Amino acid sequence: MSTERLESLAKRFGFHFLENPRQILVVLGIGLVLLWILLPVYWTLAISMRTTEEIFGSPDLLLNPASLNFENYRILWPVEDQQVANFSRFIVNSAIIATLNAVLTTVLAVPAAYAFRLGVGYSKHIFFWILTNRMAPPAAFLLPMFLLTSELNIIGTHWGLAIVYLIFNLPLAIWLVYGIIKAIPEEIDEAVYVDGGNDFTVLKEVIVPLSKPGIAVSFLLVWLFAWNHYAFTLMLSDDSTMTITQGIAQFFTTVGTSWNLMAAGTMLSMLPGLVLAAIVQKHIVTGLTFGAVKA
Amino acid sequence: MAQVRLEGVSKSFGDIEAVSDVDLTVEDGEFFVLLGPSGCGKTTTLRMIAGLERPSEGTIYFDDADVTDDEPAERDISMVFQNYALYPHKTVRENLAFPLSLSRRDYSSEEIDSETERVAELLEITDQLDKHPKNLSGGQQQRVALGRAMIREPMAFLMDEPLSNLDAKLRIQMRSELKRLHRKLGVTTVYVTHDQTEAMSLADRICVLNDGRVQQVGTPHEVFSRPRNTWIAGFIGDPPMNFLHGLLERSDGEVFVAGDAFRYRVPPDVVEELDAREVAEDVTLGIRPRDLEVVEDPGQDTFPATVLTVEPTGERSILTAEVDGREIKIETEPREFMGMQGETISVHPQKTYYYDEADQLATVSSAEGDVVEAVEVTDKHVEEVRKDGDT
Amino acid sequence: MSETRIYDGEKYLVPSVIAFIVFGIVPVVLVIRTSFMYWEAFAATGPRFIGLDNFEQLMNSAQYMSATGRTLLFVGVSLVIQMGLGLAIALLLDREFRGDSVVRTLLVLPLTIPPISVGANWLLLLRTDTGLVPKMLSNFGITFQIGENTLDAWVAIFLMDAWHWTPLIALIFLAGLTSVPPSLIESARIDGANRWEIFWHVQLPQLKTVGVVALLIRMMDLFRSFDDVWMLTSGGPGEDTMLLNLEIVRIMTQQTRYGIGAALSLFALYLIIILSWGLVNMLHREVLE
Repeated sequence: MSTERLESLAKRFGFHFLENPRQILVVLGIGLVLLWILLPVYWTLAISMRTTEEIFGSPDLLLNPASLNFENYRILWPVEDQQVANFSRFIVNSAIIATLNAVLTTVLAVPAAYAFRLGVGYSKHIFFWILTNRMAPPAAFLLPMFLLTSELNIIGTHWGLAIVYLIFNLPLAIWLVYGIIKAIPEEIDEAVYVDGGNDFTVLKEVIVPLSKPGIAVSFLLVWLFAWNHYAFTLMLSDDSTMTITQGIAQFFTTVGTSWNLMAAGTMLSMLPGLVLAAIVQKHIVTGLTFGAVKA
Repeated sequence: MAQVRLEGVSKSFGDIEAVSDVDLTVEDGEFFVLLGPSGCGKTTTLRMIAGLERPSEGTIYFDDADVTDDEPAERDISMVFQNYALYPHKTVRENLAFPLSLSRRDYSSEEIDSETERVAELLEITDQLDKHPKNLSGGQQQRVALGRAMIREPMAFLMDEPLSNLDAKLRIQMRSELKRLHRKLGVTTVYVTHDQTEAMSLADRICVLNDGRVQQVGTPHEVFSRPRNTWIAGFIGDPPMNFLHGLLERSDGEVFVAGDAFRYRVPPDVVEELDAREVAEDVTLGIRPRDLEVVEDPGQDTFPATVLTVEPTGERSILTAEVDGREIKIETEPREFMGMQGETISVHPQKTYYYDEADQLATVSSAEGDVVEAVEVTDKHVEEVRKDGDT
Repeated sequence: MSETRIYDGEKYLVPSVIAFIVFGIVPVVLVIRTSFMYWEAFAATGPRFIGLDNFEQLMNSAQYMSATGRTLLFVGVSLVIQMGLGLAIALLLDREFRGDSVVRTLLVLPLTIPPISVGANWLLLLRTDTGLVPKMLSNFGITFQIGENTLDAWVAIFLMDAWHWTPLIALIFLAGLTSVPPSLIESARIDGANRWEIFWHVQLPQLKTVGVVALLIRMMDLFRSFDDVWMLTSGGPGEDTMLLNLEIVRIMTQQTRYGIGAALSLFALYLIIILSWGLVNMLHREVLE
């Protein structure tokens, strides 16, 4: 490539190599970051489209578009129920659990966040206590959650996991929704009061309609974190409620290692995240840092 | 519509007492203004009438019903907020209809529609009905806020500085409109403002508040012409009243107020009153800047004043001068005084106010012939406003 | 605004508080109770109270104490790598160019992936038989075996966790850099500061707050790590990368020794709480107020 062509290409992206040669390093750096981010995902995609022989041979770095192979995905999507790696069922299970959890979380989080807006006694301490629930390592809670859900007779059900996931998702959702609704001026609440409404009228007529977009973002993030979760499924789900994260783990526990199938399953498990990344991109950092950083 | 009565109402926030022992009666149909500087407790008082704050002590009555512990919704009042507090996600029509939809009385949707149309017409916002508040100008938002308050016939209208976010021209226009609407609807109105001109032009009666306490309640004329203490006197009127401290001296049937650098002979009509009230030696003499006149020759009824600055403001000039070590303001016609900075001049007060040791108004001299009373101007202005409004 | 409220919020909080009591406090109580018991699923005797024996056993166990040490090593090294790399990436991206939003969206991508899938991705990439990386390295005569070589396994874990979470730190720092007023940088430039001096004297001080947030949040989450490491190394080779959480899960699900598992859970939980407590207070004071 000639210098001129390189320069004109760089210019198109807003860089000027001739004026500022150090920008070459910047562009190389950005390229390296992109490569680093995409490489593992690309390699998984590549494996998911290859046969076992191709994987263990010495496969080409690049996928050949002519020989793309969707067989692995087809196997994961069994028409009948006999295959072990029944990903269609795992996906449905994960989606059911994530949706139940997101609905439950949102239904609880919106009034709870509204409670903090109205004001509660010892609110700082209660808020902190709620947050600590998010910090506990799931592994430490495996046994008690097992005992508890057995006691409540919800073990091995979709509802069981959806309810247990509250422990890490509800604190996040309360925090996110509170961040949104505390920005609504209190005068609006007071306008409702003098117009003849009470606190519930405010919630229904003002808070919820005004914070719908924020609540939706919180819903999606919570859904995603529920979809992504693994540890609690170890002891709390049975064959009929096995999730997609468990499905992936199964490839080298019980099923035996069939790497191309595992790659295909991994690709499927990442899809919701890839879709949601585009939608809630700006809010993910806020969600992961409990609103302390607004990106 | 109702009479609103506060008895011994106090409100504390932590250690701070925002409102102390307020007794007030707002008569049925009256336009009542709570006036005072920021932090005086006027908004807190209004919010207690609305039910948005609970009094720490005391009782609030609407007519004879004790509403102290009622929620705002149970009080049947409507309120206009300083920032309007329109519902941003509702259209103008929905904003106006909202109080009716919450009303205990079941309005049919036809009734709600017709009432909305009626109020929109009254406030000339029919064209804006399907817009959202963010697409309206400040003045239009203000009208919607008023409309939302007026769509019902409440026990009382409560207004918290409703005009303070408008520009000066619009403010004057809305002021006359408020007056017109009040005359038309006749609903008891409690109106909070820090703007004395607004208070003077709108109020049937004014309650002046400071530090959470009621300073004076009266008609605009009363408050202006007989301010009960030096704080009110200094608060009402612009530029504020000047004060000079002195001792009463009696000789040969005449009475003087004497400071270190002045000796002023009290007008005869005041002497009697001062004697009758047994005013002690220490007095504070109050003179409004507009009542001071620059005269050529010093006399027993003038003060020597050293000119510090002259600020021409067009119609009038404001002189700042020093009398007896205190700064005073003098309002003059520009041609009346052509003097220099540092020059010593003689000023003659045409009207004087006397405050006793306990800072209570003892008496006011009657004004000299040609002085146009400020309050008369204000009242005239109100009349003009009323005429504007009715046409 | 008003100190006295006409409506109390408490009633709206009741359902959530019940949820946190049932699924937050009750489990802790159950763990505490179990930690005082001898309880193994396949033991001849049923559960019985044994006092502090489990804790004594735990404290004297080289196995569990090394798991603790490995966990601290994992958290510490990961923090250093990710904070440094995150800051570097943020500085790299703190400029306008065509496609900058695409780059930022791609940066979000790893954050949305299930940790178990992150483990799977890296396993496929780094395994000697399927991985691209060992194949390429072998061209240079380097062997890379996460299943056999302890150092390789640790490198794999650090690489994977850095891949998963460095973008978060980069985005946090990027948000911090964006909030530095351009006028500050311009006036420093007028004062003759070079790029490095601007970074050191103008930008870095402004990044302190977000830096603390990033550090604390990562620290707490690193202690929670389980899924991806489990997937990538399962604690191997041998037990060389066996972190506390992995150990707990192994005791609970494979060995089914619930008593000692509960004791270890409590130990891990309070280790994290104690380590986080001071720092969280700092976060609360400096950032959240």
